[in-house]
Amino acid sequence: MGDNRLMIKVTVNDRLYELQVDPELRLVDLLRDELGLTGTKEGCGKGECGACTIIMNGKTVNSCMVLAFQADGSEILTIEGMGDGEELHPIQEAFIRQGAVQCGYCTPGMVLSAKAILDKNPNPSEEEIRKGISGNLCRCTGYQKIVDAIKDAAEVMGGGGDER
Amino acid sequence: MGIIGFTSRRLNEALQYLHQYGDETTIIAGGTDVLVKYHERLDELHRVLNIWQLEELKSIRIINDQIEVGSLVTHTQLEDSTIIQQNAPLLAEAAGSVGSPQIRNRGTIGGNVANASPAGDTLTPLLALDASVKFVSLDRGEKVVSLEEFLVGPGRHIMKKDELITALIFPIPKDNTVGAFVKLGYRKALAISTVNAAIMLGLQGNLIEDCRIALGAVAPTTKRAKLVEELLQGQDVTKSNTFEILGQLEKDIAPISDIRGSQQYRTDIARELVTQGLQKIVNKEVGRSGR
Amino acid sequence: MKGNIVGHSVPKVDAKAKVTGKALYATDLYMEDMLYMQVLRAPYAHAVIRKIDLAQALAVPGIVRIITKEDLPGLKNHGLIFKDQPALVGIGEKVRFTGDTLAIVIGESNIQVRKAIKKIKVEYDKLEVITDPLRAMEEDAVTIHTAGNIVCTHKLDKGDIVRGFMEADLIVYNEFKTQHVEHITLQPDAGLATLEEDDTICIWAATQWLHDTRVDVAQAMGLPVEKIRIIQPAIGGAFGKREDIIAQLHLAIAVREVKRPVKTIYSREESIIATSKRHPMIFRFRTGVKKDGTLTAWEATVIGDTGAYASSGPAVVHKGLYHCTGPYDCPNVRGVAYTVYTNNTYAGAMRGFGATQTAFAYESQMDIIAEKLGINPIELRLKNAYQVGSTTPNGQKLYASVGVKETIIKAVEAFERLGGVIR
Repeated sequence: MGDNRLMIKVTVNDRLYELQVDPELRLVDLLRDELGLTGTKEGCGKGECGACTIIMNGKTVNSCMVLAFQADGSEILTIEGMGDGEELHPIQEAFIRQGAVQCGYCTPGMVLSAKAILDKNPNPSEEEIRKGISGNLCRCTGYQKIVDAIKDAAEVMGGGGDER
Repeated sequence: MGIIGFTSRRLNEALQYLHQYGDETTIIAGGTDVLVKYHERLDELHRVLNIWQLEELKSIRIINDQIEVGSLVTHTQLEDSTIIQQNAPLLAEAAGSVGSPQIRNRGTIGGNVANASPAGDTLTPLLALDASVKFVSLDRGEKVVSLEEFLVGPGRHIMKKDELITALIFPIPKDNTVGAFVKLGYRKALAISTVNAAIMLGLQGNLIEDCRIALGAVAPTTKRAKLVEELLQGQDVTKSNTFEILGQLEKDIAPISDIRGSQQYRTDIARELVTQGLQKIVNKEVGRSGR
Repeated sequence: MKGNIVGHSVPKVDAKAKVTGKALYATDLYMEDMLYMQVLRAPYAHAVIRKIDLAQALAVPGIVRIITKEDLPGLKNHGLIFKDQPALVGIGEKVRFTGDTLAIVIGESNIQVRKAIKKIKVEYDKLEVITDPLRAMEEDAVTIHTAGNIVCTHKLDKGDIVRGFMEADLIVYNEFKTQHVEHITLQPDAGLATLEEDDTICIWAATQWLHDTRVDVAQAMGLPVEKIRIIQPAIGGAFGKREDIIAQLHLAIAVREVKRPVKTIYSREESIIATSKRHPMIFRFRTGVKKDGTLTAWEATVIGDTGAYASSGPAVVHKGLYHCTGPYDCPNVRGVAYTVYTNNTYAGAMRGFGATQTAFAYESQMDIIAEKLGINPIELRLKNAYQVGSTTPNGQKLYASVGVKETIIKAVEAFERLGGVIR
């Protein structure tokens, strides 16, 4: 360690970081251990559970499946970057409103996958939602409330009449 | 001590790196195979060459009568590509069945080929599309080898350690061809195929003029079912005795028993999947689509 | 009086912290001067440990301390019902499953600790590995614990089973088996411990039973209960798994030795190897029934594989037995349940606590009976379903609020509404 460190530049939640990273450091470790962004969770380390999902250059990725130095030059959004300061993002509000949060460990990844779904299609079908969250495991609620929350968020964000 | 990482931003730079250090280098693109294989033992790697930033390998193009897919094209790109959807919908479907959105956003077609898994989901459609692999080294230049010859065993291929896959190439299917991809896994998402199958049929009316059937996870490599392909030629795809020919499939394959299925189960499923694939074609649930 | 809680949808108290990623789980705790801990697990599922060589592991840079049983001769066993589980297995002692711990390794970084663990050399003598509870119950099977392989036996006797079978027109016998199930709490097992100035050990780790964990850690270490403090961070799933002590005791031992904050995070594989499972059970049911479908007798043998340690096993397997007829009334019931040690990963509580396994068996048995009698399986169930006045196999009289029939009818309606066809 030490000698082989690589210099990278990454933008995380609109903030530019210039960092020296160990080549064996994974992106999830960089975010959590070095940048203190512990909202990104690790559940399996093998891309199976999606708890470590972040949005990288506009696409969801498992941050346990990326080496930190591979993220050089990229733009990253983590759960800490959702919403606007104190204001929650409509997806986060919908998750609370629909009871889509139980133990909460899948929630950050789930919210980011939801964002990717709605960024691609503001009016997704139930099937598109289910496919969109198929890389995120939840062990508590089952998926129905999460699907409901994403539908709810789509309505709110699309300005549809349903105010609730 | 410690592993050495390097990011190449140009193909030539990557080839020079492999020329010098190929023997001790692990190539990483999307990382969805490498980081699973080396989970919790990344320190055992020596050199890691990151090729994710090689922009020149990220496009899908039509060149004359062929389609060239850059090796760093992701599964998501394949799934969403108009060129692939119109000319090889079975490849788009296969790509869309891999892993999860997160995996498809990182996993590349070149990685799927280099990983050479007998269950690789894009490998069966590529075989059915009669694809070739283009790979390059610094001192021996470019080679194009059929995928069938490229794959030699589970996780094994003919490439040397200083070579890098740059593209997959396949002829644009003729207008009278129809393809289908069928997969069985334990879940809809994040399941390695227990068996998968890809079929390309050239039809003259209902008669099979030309036929390629590729199967995954039933032999040391994904492979063509050449005996059955031959038997199917000239048969009427709507007739039930055509489907009886699929009973011969077991002569084309050599499945093993493992956690995903026994030898017998895989043999039965292979037949079932090819049957379903042909039925999809007969029922026009799939298409040469577009044109 | 009208409030704003009952009858209203109230947001979860910690939902906002969880959707913003601010909720702190044990995995998310960091402290200055913090060390990392991992443990060396058993090299074989049943063996006597002869030698543990730490020399090469101690030479790995960054390793602060490696603790073995030899450092803690007074360490006592722990466990939810029986104190049969050791936090550390020493020289001359037995490992009973591949999750048993031989050494606690503490170092400056997780990577260093993992490297050191690979360099510990263990010599051991293999014993017969028993993975089948039926083998464990045989006379000549090696005993996993000194008192024998049957942890406990529970019995059930209601009515007159002999008369019940005499009244039957049909007797149906079947054997059913269920498998291990892993909880896969999405948050891997993890924890952090600190040593306060007054020597109080503070442990942050997900647990379902703070007070039991506290008392058990204290008694194992021979410390007064006041010297152990358990602080509950956000829990990333539990489902029964986190009733057992997982990392708490190792963390307490570690922090007491190194006097610096110690953190551990299990890999998913380690969590699957080392922590509790849903009990696999074998059910042997002999059921007597009249031609019209009325149950007359139900004889049950239940064998629950609790693995290397009892955990909640005695209670779980017992419950598996007294639910043997499910929600169906049978006047004559006799049963026996054996909770059995094997060299499998220990089994404990998981959602349903023994009742889920039994449901698979009795519902299958009911379907088989319906088929043999040529009766519609729903009718068979409605005919025998509990109602007010029914008595359960363990003699509990149901005097109010028995909704089984209503539930079955509503379920059938819902099934048909969704396009299901009942043959």
